[in-house]
Amino acid sequence: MARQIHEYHPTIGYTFIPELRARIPHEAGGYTVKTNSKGFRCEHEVTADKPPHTYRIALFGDSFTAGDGVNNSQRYGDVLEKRFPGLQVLNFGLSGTGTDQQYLIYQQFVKEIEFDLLMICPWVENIRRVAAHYRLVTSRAEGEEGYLAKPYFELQDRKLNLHQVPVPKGTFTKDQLPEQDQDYVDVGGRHQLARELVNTYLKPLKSVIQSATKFQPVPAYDDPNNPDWQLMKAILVQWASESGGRPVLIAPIPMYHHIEQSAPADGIVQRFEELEQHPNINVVNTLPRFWEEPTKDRKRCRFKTDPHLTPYGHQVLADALAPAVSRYVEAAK
Amino acid sequence: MSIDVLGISCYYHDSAATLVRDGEIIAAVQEERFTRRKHDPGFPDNAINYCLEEGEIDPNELSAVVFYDNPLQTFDRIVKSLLHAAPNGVDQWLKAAPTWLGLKLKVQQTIHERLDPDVKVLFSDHHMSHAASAFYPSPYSDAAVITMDGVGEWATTAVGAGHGESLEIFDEIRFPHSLGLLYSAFTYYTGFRVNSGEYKLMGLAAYGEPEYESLIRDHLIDIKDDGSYRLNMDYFGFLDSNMMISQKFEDLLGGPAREPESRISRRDMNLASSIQVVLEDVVLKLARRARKQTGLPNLVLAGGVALNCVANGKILSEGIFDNVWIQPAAGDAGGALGAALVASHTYFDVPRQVETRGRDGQKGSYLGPAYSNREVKAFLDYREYPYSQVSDDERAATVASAIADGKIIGYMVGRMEYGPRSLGARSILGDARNVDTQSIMNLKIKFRESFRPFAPSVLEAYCEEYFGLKTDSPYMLLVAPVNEDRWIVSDTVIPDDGDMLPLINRPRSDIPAVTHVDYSARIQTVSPAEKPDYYAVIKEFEKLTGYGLIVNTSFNVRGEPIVASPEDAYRCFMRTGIDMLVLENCILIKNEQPEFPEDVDWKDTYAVD
Repeated sequence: MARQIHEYHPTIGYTFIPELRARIPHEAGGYTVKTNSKGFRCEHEVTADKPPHTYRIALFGDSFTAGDGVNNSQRYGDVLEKRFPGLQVLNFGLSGTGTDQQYLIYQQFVKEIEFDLLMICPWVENIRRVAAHYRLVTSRAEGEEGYLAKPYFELQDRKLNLHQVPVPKGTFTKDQLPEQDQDYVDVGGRHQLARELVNTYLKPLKSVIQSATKFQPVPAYDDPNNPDWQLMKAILVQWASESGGRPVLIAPIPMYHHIEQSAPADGIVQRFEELEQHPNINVVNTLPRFWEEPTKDRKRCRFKTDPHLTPYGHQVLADALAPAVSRYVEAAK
Repeated sequence: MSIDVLGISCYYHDSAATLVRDGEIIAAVQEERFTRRKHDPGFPDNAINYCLEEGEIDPNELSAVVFYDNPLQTFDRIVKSLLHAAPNGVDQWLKAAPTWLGLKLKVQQTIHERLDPDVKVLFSDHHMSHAASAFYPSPYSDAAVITMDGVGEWATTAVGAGHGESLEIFDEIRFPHSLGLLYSAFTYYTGFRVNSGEYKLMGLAAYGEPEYESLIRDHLIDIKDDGSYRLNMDYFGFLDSNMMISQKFEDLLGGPAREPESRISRRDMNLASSIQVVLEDVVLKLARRARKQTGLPNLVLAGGVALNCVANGKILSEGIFDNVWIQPAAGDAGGALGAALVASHTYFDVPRQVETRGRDGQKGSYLGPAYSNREVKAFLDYREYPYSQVSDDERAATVASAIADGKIIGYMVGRMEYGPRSLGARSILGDARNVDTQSIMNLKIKFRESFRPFAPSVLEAYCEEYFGLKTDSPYMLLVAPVNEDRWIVSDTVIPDDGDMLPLINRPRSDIPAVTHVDYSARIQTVSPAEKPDYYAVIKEFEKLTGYGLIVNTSFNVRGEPIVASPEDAYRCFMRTGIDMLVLENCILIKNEQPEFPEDVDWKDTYAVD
């Protein structure tokens, strides 16, 4: 029986259990999830005041930031911290969340604490989660599939309205989902049936099929007027406006399809560049650094079957972010 | 840099893993607790994962992984035994060969595949692993060592000595002559499950008379004065067939083996008593020999036979050694610990620190996973199970009061026990004074009609008020008599039809739930140093009732591995007649819980011992 690692949270849906130490079996041998007293996979306690002579980054994202598949010390946030003396990275990454939930984490846990830079690193796939009211999940403890409710925003008259808070507890079967929510379920990707068929019967050919079809896992970025992008953009802009005047660095984390160039990333790059129209937002495109890797090495950035970043992938991502972080740290001196 | 050694035992029964850091036991756990498959023999992936978790270490940081047994030597024994038995035994070979060639001979490859391709892999000898598990955690700088089990490689019994970091085995009895297999043959013959039901046979012995002792001595085993022995293989089947015994065994003892689950007859009781007497004779002779050979005042024991706490009690009461320490995970699971310890001290030359602050280096055997209050609450909140949260003091008072009211408590607090006994971390608790406790626990919780009494957990300082035991027994591995002034003497004659029920349920002392038919008890002494929460419960109970002891039985149902996680505990709570569940500082009351529907009849899930 695997250790349960999440606890219920009425606004966010769930958080990591505080002061947890859980080793998660994984295709790469396993990794340890350690959380602080607030329930974040963060090596530091979250204090209201930052330590003296420290440049403090509040870092947000999903499992790519929380570090699924790797130990705390191997994550790009921790790698960056080691590269810059005096830098403290408070990692508020939470696996399985959308940008909406990450924004709520900011409101609940971070807004009032002292920090220097707000760094938001959405995995580009998060756009689907932002649009979803429920997510299909597999319980790690029980191994059972179910639908998990999440908070979500709707954009009405350019205003963000929060719904489904408090978040309903527990998991649901498909039949139990409300009728009006049936179209707002994130099942983990497009073309669910085709994915299952490929993963079951054609797994060795998966890369070839993806390349040949130029399968785009996140087409919502291709259209600037796409409602899912409009919603995600509104959340990011609203979030940046609440940063208390601090700089905001947004660095979308690409999917392996984009890193390995089996799918085009132009739409993603263009959409996130739109955010730079806002005064305190700086966007970093991390893809060029990944593409500096020889083609054969790009696959080393992810695990064989798990799409999360390997320790090597985290190093490359840290490389991509380091110049921007360096500018902020140096400027603060 | 610390020396981190991972010990592994698997592929026979009771797989386990342990982590030893600089000679200190960091973690130890059996695989069955995670897979929920009793005596799980598989590669201990989950147990290893837990050990790495507890040690906060990755496989590539391990100094070595040590396997508890030498597969090549065991393979050699199997091949030679079969050649000896040829042309018989072909079936046995055909059954064993695929497992051996497919799994056991590839241990190193498996470890490299599952853990790290570059990790150093070492092998210990089976009885050296047992000996190390007994000697190194013991509180003695020097000790005689005896290990006894069914078989490991060639050896079945070993005698040796430990001094500081060194450990030597100087005498062995070799397969097929095996005290463990002899006892297992009787386990099978009396209708219990081999490698699992031996403790039942031991409990049954108290009801019988040793009427078959002479037959056993005359035909089955030849025992010398120094404790060495030989079996007459004409009577056993384990050398050349898939059976424990031969037709000749059945002819000698007057009939076929008892059908499992059928009524136990007076004959079965007498058989149990007889083999117990013989086993004790061998064990005592071996102990005298070890004392003579080593001249040492301390004895340590391991191997499956060391779980025979009646024999252990005899060693102690005979005064052969001044001190006796028994590895609580005496069976093959403990081999994982011994393997890690012997590698630490003899391969990596880690200095041995004999534990002087506590009782020993075993840490009360609370070496498995714990679940924090936050984890418990996360589990309960997610499922919306009603509970109340209490302080440590409130918990002790609440539990003690409920026990005094005749309630049965499922108690899960702290790190899980390593070894087959529940010692107050994963226990079901009840009132030892209550004449109904034994039958309630048997029928509503264990779902069995057992002839065995439950064990008492007694405050260390109060032990002599109740029992004729002048030493501590933290691991429930010693049997001693209930003090005579507490006895309620009555007729102990079992009717001819062998129905033991009237006798079982008859009170035999003022602590009837823990008093066996021969007025003995299998004792756990509890100290505040090693298990303060559990000590506090019994202390509160003592304040309420004047009795410093309670009933402690394993937190499981018949045939199920002991619970490990809050979810396991809740499931067992809801399936049984347990009244109150304690999960760390959360208390749940049965009649406040929602319905617990299940798709299958769980009683079909677990095999009977």
